Amino acid sequence: MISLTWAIKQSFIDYVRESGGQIILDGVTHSSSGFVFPAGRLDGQYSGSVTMRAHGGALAVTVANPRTTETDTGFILEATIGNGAQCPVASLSATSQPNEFRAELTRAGAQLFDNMYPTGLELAPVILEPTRRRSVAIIGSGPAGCYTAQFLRKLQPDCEIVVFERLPVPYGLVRYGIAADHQGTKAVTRQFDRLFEQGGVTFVGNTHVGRRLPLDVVRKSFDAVVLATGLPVDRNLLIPGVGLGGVYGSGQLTRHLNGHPDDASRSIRIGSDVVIVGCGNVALDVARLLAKRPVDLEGSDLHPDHVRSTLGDAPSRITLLSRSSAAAARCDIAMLKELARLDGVRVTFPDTPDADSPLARTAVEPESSLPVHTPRVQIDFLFDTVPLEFVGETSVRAVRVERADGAEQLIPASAVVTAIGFQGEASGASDLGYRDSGLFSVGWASFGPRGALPEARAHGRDVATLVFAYLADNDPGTPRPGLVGVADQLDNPIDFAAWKRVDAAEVASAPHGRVRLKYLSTAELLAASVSSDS
Amino acid sequence: MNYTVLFGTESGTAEMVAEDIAEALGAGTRLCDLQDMDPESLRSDSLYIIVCSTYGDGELPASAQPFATGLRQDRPDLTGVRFSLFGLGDRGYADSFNRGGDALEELLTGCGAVRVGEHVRHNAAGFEDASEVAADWALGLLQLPLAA
Repeated sequence: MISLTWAIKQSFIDYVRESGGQIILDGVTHSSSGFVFPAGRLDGQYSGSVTMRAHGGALAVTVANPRTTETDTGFILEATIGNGAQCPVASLSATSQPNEFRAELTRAGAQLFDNMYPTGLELAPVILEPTRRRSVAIIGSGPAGCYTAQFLRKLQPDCEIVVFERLPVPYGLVRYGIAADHQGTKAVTRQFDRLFEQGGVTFVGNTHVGRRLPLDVVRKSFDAVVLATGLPVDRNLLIPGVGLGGVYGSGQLTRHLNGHPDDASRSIRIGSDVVIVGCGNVALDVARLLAKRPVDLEGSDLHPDHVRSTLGDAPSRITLLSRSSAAAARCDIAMLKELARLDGVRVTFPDTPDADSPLARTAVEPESSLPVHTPRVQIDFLFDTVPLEFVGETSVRAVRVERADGAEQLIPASAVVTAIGFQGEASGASDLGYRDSGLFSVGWASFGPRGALPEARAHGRDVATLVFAYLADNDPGTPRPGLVGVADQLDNPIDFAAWKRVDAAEVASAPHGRVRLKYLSTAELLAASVSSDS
Repeated sequence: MNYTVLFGTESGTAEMVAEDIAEALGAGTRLCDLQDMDPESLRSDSLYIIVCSTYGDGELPASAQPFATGLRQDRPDLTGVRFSLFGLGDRGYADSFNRGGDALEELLTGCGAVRVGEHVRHNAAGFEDASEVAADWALGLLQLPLAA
């Protein structure tokens, strides 16, 4: 691919800038040698436009979709100008540089500049050279990373985009965070499958950037790096007894139930009385999965062994604790309705003064909570309630709380799940932000554990736009090598075709009532990724 | 007859499906985010094929909100305007399944526009691939007698 680089007329651009005007680029980037018009559909055609406006639009010059053509008298540069007409702007002649051409204003081109310049004036040289392919590394293949790649690919289709993932398999929280009984939400992977299959975006799994592959090495090989590493660690509740057995983080539990290699082999026992600390959507996900009967989990990808070991002794009482009031609760109404309409479940809001809050209204709406005389699972939401201590000797047996009226209460607990947010690993890579040149962060790694797919997508679009602008403004002269620059440091990387083999094998071995049977360890995933006929 | 594919999206699926429909209908089909479409500019010589998801507790997705607000507040006269609807929803949220598409249909017909073809309500929790269903459905629209 050849691109056309042209600074047009430097003195004119300076004039527009000095008089407070604007230079508007559409599909064009800027390098030290001028505006870079990428290759168009046909040989000798280039795409994009540069518009220079000043004096409130009284001066407006547009150069769009330039092309080089040969005439009887030599080569000329044509472009679409402001009024939409195709105009021969400059005549071109060779220079001592093989890719560089001297450009002189034609008579027609003089009109482009409102006859400010005489015919034959020398313009900036036109440079025709192979497009320097820019490269961007995205660290993490969860939704934030994939959406960033998706938007960046739309903005700059010729960019080499590489998505590194520490696990052998892609999609982060889509595979291991979104609840197993929300397969419809997981269908977002159809977009991401397409992203990796249509070219331009490469998946490199089983590659832990920051451990096996140092971040500095990646930064030296790519023009820009986007950290999309999420927040893998449960935020701890710092009260006495947090180290007792039977106290789990929601991330641990969710990863365990979703078959994440880090937590799949963990032994989690729930028991009859579960206390969930927190009242956000993660807390409601946990409550819903714990309240479901085995038959309610059909159509999920929950591992049968985990259903037996973790959800087997089904709880009869689930208590959610929230420091805030019902009116300030952060969970989605749709999530609460889903919980309240589960078979055999009764949801109550004892002592909730905000009777007219949306939450309380939902719970008492007869259509969402069917009358259950003898509930299989009783779910209580306690608002304005502060947990003070997890009580027990080696394992938790109760949670001591302070209620809104200041009274203390002891709530029996066979297990506790804290769902109060997530944080980054101790390395602190997540707070680098945009301060460091060429290093960006996106999603939860950037703004904290808030929001779901729509927020990840919106931020992915914003960060892709920032990266695109950064690439346009920072032309290194010598291109960075991209993936080939780190190839010799990769150890058994997994490509997208290998993931598709894992995917197919998991779907093929799905037992009755499941959409797939996940491999639970990195070793099993790696084994399944190897082509069976090789 | 020319075709304009519009999408209202929150997680990007409706945009992907809209791209698939535009590709199935072939060259000359316009593709546009609902947030970039002014309801007043809808014309009678185009068929507007709308792909719209549902978000939260039955709300319209963010990118369809300004369009819906425009219809609700300005109530433009859309007599002669024709549209088709492909809704995206999730039966897991039974109360609000496909409410987004339903809301758009109600607003558009309330302004005098007429829906043509079947209003599809796709279920993300089902087994049918939205892109395949949508492409087949859109090709079916081509068979409808729609004189310009």
